[in-house]
Amino acid sequence: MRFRAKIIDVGCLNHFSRVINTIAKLAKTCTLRLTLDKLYFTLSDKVANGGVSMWCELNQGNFFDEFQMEGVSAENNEIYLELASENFSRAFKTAQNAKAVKIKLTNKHCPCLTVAVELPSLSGSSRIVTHDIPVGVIPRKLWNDFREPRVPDFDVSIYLPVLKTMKSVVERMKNLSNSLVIQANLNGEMKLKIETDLVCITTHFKELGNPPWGKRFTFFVRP
Amino acid sequence: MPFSTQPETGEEQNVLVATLDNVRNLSNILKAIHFKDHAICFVTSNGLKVTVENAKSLQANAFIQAGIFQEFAVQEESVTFRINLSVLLDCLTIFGTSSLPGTQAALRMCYQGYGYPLTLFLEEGGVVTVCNINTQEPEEILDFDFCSTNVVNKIILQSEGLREAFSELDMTSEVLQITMSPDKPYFRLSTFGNAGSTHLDYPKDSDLIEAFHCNKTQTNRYKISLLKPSIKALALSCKVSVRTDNRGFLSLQYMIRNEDGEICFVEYYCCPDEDITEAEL
Repeated sequence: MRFRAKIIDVGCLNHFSRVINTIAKLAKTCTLRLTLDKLYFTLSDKVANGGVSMWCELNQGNFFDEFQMEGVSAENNEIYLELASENFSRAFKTAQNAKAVKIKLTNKHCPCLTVAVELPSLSGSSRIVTHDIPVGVIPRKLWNDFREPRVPDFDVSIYLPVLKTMKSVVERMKNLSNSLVIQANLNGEMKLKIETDLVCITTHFKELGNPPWGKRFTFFVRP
Repeated sequence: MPFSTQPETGEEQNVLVATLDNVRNLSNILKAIHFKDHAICFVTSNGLKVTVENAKSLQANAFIQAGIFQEFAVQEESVTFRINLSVLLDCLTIFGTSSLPGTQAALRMCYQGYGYPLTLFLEEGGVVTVCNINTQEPEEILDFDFCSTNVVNKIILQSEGLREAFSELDMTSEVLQITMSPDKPYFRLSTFGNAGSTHLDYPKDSDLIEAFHCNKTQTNRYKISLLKPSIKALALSCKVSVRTDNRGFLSLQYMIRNEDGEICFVEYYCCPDEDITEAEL
């Protein structure tokens, strides 16, 4: 098993950091799956933790300038790691103005993801900050637990409104109620609604549009 | 009216209908008195008065006069109801509190009368939110009987002068002592905390003081915990009028300029802390 990757572009670095920060907010520990052309951050459904699962898929070519990996074997050319997402996001905090960031799979007492951040300095000689994040290597026999979740057949699919508006609405509703009703139809309309003893609030969104799934209406089809 | 364009809610049954192009002109003022969950709303054709009280010793009133609203129609002489202010504020700010241009939510507020909910229609960028907030039985509010004829001392000053003083108040002190006097020290704020006493004097001829009408030396103490919420109003205001009457009651009137440059008022009344030595006499 080998893995090393490098980000140089500031835009890519910021984008990657934002993804990691979001994941750290959602999940304490997550699974990082590496393949030749993709990275996946996943959190599989555990009812004990609230039953939220997450599936985040990134094309490595969109982020990394160098990306080399060798999986456990030629026919199973993948790596599955378990890590504390907060550690990973903290490592990227120091990378804000970095010239380059290298990520490597290393073995220092235990398997680690080593994030080496090259920071610019005034004196010309650059400084390197290294974070060793302990990871657990997930054995081949458990890989099946981290399969892509099946999306159940759906009746309605709709484009969400401007997320900033939706976020603000949901945040206010969260202050007032524990649960929220979401309604959507094929006319591009969506409603968010809460009802409590004190108040009943409904937000109506219109003209959102429905994605054209065509004949494959009942399946999410990936390219 | 066979060709009525009124919405089906039965507009003619409403005892109150008010519309506002910029909901922040209402929500910002209400934030200045938001230190308890419950508020009493008192509506007349002059406008809307919202009252919040604490410990039977402090009362805050926000006045939003009818002219602030684009439409303000009251069918009865006066309309009174109690409402959960936290819920009302969450509803009014449902589209966020950002004051960036292009993010202006409009409000239509309707109330059908006793026993009915207060209905809010909010709209921003084509998105509509309808809120029905249950109203409650209005309770008797305190009458501080603070009349201008009994005012002994009055100072009007620019809020920035008090803002700094109030944000640095020693919260370990139980009381804030206010001295107002025609002679030195003119206007003094004192606290008595764990780390010692502090006195803050404002000279009579300070640039911050706009009007100084003190007739008699008065020193009164007010519970700092009661006065603390008034910092919210102070933060929003441009001028403040500090008055005390012959019983030592304190009135703080804040002049608040909204985003459209119109003036609204928020006032706080506070009872003086009971003077133990006087009681023992």
